[in-house]
Amino acid sequence: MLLDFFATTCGPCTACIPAFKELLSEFSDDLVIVSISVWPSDTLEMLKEFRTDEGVTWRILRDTTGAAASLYGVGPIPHLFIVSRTGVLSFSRLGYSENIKTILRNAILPLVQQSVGTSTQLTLALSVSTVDVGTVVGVSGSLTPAAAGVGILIRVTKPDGSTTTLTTSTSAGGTYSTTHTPDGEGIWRYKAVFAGDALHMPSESAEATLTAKAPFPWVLAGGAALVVVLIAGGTWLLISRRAEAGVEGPPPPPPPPPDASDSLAVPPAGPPPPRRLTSAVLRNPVPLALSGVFLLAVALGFESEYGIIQAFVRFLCLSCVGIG
Amino acid sequence: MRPSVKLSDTRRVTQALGFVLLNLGINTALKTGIVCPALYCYACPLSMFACPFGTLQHFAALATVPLLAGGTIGLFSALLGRAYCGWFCPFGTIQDVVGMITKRKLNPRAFPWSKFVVLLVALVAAYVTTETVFCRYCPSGSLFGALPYVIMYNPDPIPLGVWIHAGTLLLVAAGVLVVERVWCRYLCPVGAIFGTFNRLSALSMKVDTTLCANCKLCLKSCPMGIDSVESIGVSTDCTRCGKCIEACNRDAIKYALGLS
Repeated sequence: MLLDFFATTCGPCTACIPAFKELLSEFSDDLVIVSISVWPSDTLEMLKEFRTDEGVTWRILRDTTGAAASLYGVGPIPHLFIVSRTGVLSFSRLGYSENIKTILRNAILPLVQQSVGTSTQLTLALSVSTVDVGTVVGVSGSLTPAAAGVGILIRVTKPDGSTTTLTTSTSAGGTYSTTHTPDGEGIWRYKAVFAGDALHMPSESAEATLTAKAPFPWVLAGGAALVVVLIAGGTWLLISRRAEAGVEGPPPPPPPPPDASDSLAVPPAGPPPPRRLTSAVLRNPVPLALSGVFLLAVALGFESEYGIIQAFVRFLCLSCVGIG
Repeated sequence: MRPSVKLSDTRRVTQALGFVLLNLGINTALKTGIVCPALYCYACPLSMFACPFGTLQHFAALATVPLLAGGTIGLFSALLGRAYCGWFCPFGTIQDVVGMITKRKLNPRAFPWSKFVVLLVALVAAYVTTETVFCRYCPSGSLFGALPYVIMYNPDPIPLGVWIHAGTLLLVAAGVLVVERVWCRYLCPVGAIFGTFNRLSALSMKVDTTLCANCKLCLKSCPMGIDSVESIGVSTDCTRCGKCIEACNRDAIKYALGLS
């Protein structure tokens, strides 16, 4: 299995696709490719468009929480992994290269030559990607080539890392389906496993993730807001300690007092600074009103945008540093 | 002793803190989704915050209104105007340091609006191409994104784009030897945004005309080439660095709270 951690906006990732197609054509019975978008702003619609535009025929998944990327230690993209039939991670490659096809082929070939029996491919899909806790989720997939009555194990990894298994079996067409109800908030990971038999090689599906909806992260929001306030407010306070306190106060008497205030910490004579600072702000409502409007925008956009912006910081897109 | 000495020292401390703070993302657990008030490459393996302009480009590419990013940038702007350029931005700090190599510099005043053109063109380009085009040439990205990337990931061969980045960085480095803060003056899109709020921000600067002797020492000290006393604090070029405050012999210029 070739795992491709990518983003639709990443030029080098897209540049790998022709090589993937050629490899898939060459190793049609032995190679499964799964592309995993690590970019939170890659919406389903964008991925569908990407699939159409690039002619992708293999499965594309979304790593909406960064869990898969964390599991594989993915930072920069594209990051490619090859996993053997027995689940051994046998190859890892960071970044695009003009001879990427040869590099990957050399890694795949030894694994294919080890194969015995008919190779199989197993898929798994969830009926939804995000649900509320306690909602029934459909888990389905198929075994190729089709085999009836074959036992399929579905390994479910709970948000706390513990695992449980579901068992089901294939129909005459090689498809299977069952249901599961996540009972806790967080990321649930599902993987179907076919143990193999005398005629068929074992196979595993790609992992699918499900987000059992957690409440809005008020603590995180508060922490982020605190950092913003500390950066802006701290610098403001630092500078404003030298500020002329009363904006509309009487003009200072000439000549200027020599050496009157040697330190930033020494306030000018007059009423206590805190009171005058407050007064100055209240007398100038425009900055106050602007701040209020922008704070409102921050509050409205936090839940939907924070994760996207964090992804910019977490994932080093190589096209942004000049590859592609 | 004049208080301006302490102002310079304070500014150097905040600039150093800005440099350190933005790079704390070397611990990946500290990589946040917060937009910082400086042109800084979020693709850097060390970055802790997101670049405001990279983020705006991304949302322009998505044709989406950036509520969080825009709100954060606006909030920063409404509080301090362009003070971040003078007190916090690591790329400004680097320009200050490199600029120390040459003593005598030119002080041209042509095209002060060019940074607004960069801002507009880059956002339109992002919208049209659906890519963050400006990032490919951003000299701050060269220093804080491409260079750490090459050092940490050792790509072989070094991609063409990295060389392009190196070229833009060298151009700016050469520029600051001739014109102080040349990037901030003419090309920085983040400075253009912050500068727009200089007339509206909570922090402002006041010039007491009753004390001003019209000696123009303040203007001669200005790293941004502001050419009139009336423009101090309100010009979109003013980074509120306070060098004019230090230069004034009569304490006629001060920081203030409220509209300029």
